[in-house]
Amino acid sequence: MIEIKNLVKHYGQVRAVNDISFTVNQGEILGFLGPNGAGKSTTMNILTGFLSATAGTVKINGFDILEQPQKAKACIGYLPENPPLYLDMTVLEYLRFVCDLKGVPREERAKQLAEIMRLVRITDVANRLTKNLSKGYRQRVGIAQALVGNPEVLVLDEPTIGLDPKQIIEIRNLVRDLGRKHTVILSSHILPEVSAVCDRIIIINKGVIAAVDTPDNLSRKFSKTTRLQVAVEGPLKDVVTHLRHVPGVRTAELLMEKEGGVNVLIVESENDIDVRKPVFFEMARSSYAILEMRPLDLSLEEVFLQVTGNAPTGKGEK
Amino acid sequence: MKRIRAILKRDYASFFRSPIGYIVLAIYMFLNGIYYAGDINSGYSDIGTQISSFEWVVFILLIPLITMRIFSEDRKNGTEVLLLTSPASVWEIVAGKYLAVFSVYMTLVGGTLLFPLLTGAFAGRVDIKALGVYIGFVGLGAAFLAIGVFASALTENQVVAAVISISTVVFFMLIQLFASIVGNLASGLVSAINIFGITDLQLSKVASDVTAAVNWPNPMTRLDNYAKGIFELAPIVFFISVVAIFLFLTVRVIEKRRWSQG
Repeated sequence: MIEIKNLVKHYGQVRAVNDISFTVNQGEILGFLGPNGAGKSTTMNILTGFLSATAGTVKINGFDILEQPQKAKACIGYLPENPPLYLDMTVLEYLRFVCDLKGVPREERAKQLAEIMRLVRITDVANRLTKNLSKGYRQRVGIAQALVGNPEVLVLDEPTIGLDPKQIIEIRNLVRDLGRKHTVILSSHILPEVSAVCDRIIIINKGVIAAVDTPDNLSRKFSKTTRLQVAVEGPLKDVVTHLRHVPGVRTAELLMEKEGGVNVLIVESENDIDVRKPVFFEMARSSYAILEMRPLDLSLEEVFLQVTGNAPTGKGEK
Repeated sequence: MKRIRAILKRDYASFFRSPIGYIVLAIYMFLNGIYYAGDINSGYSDIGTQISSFEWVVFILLIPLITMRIFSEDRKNGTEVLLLTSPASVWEIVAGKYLAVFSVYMTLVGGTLLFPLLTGAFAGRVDIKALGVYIGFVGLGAAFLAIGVFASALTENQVVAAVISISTVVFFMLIQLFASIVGNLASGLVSAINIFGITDLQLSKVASDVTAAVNWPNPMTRLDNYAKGIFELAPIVFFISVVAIFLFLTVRVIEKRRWSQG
């Protein structure tokens, strides 16, 4: 569906994108993650044909974006970083213009626009000037614009930015629905969003792909230890000493102290060793009550920080 | 073609969604109205001289006002991303936008038809020679509009775009002055190193020929015959060439930016 090969983009001395290759399959939702300035937007701008790469090729549906730009662009709906709205038009006028620009036949226009506006919930602002809309509504009009013409590929650059939590959930569900019929590439720096919606994640840093995998695989691959959060009633020193004696446990550290002599600890163990039972019996033997015990998965945040080379102190190894 | 029409329609309407379209139209009709009223008072009206006398206002002030935002505003608001990632080619975008400013200009020109119509309605005489002035006025305007569109594509700042197109128009207007200075200099130079016994008549021929040569790219002088009621094809070809060249440059500037490395 989308084939990107050896993409390079120079800005003066800076290599904003340095030899990136990946493919996106039909019906897949691909998440594009990276810190600011990693090259996310540049890559998206190149694959939608707004910028040209210094080297490398982009193929959309088999059409090269440079050699057959018209055909390639007809397959793409693009929401750039800033929604490209004409501020002097009403929402409906604007979307009609986008229809004309993308060559949507007149007789299908009304039906298609009604459907899109219902989907992104902007029907009630259809006759307002885009200038007077809030950031969240502008963003949704931007998404609506990308959906016009029912393109096979959707490229969404930070689609939920500027939305309130309720809207974020709506848009997230919308993207998931769209992913059934469309191929979606979306960039974000909100990690839970990416892990909730995407089938596959590309982490990009300093213009290079740092990791590609499913969200689950990523957190598994990058966690070298398994961690438990345990709340125990008992003197801290004793509890820690006992915990450290359990076979397989590497460290036990205090996370916080609670009222009534309860200590919440983080217990790290070797990978593939389940220490929950031994920890339980060890504590039981010393008659320290375990009030809470739950495994901690390495969150995508931590994977992200590890991959991009900013591993927080005390967690994980490189 | 459909896409050109879509862009043309949007951008033309956009002039009349903001005050700019009305301001331009109001300024022009006001000036013309005053002139016409003065003419009528003296019992004589000539739409040809009326249009010619406000040409400089149109070319130096109104055309830059019309063209300054046509590309720079899209670039500033980010709507150029929408245009450039749509299936429309850069040529279609530039053509659509040029036709939009040209249509605004034609609205302006159309407004002045009011005066000969008025004259005719009151059994006055309208000189057919005015048609030549109109053709020249439209042709010259078309050329300056293309220059303005090009200037607008160069920058995301409307004021800078306006300054660039104003200076270009002023430059063309000053060529005439510059040309005669160069012509006199040339004939002076020839007479100073006069070793072939060149006559004064030949010297003045040198002066006028050099002046004409320097003046060649000046679109303004090409209209002299039109005002006399003589139709010529050469100026039309010249204007069309200027439009084509500047629209071509506009396309190049926009495409270059996609490839830019900094």
